[in-house]
Amino acid sequence: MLRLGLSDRGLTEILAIAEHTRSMAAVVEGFGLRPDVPSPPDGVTGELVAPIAELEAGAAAETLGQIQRWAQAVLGTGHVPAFWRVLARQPRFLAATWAKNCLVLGPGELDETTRVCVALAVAMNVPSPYFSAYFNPWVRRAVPLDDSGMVELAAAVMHYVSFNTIAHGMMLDPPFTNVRAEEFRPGGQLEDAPGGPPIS
Amino acid sequence: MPTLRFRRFDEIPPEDEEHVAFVRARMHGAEEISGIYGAQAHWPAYMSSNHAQSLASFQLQGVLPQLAKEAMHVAVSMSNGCRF
Repeated sequence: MLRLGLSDRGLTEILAIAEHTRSMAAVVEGFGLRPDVPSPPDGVTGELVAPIAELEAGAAAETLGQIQRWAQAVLGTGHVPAFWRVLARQPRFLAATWAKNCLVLGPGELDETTRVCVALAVAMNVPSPYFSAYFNPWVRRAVPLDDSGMVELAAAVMHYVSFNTIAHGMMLDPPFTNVRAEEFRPGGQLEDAPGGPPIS
Repeated sequence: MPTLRFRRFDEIPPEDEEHVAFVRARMHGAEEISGIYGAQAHWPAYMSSNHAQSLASFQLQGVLPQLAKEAMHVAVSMSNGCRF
């Protein structure tokens, strides 16, 4: 990443998306929320904590209103995703988490394509069926990707999981530690760090 | 220190030489196959198949920008607690 010109802040943005996605996925899995993007699921509800109805939001109404407008524009849904309506049972936590979400997944050094691809890759890796569905329409719109492109993304995720497992299983030492972005710039001591150009 | 000691190029039997050609070219005269491919070199055909998969996925220049692919790699590795 640093070799491609990203700064220390940009690398931290990747970390932030990874931990934010994982932490949200923990709540979803813990409460048994079913994927509801693009449409709410049919059948008997089995959530361990029920999402509140948007009309009963009370102190969470303002935040849920923001989320509803965002979800309509970005995810193409007419409803607030259940994850956010579960958090609405603690309005202060909902507001804080939505604010962090807007920061972490909002404009930064990483462009929207990179941010949302990272989020989907982490959701697939967790694995989180809920957030894999949640980020799917966003990735398709932002990159944009068709089914072929989605498989290209999945192929990359497969490769990362394979190589993570190999590296962990064989206890490989990290090739770089305690570095700064400027060391990968021209003239820096890691200017010639390994890593070739993409193959066409 | 890796679980298995890395394999040296001179330990590769002739029948497996084709599988290590790509890594031999990459390592410019090194005696040992190190790094992520070094961890796979005790089964050269497996190492070669992973390399082919890498060329067709992570290293393929398709519709995804390379920056996005590398960022995904870092994020998934962080998520998996991968120190490498």
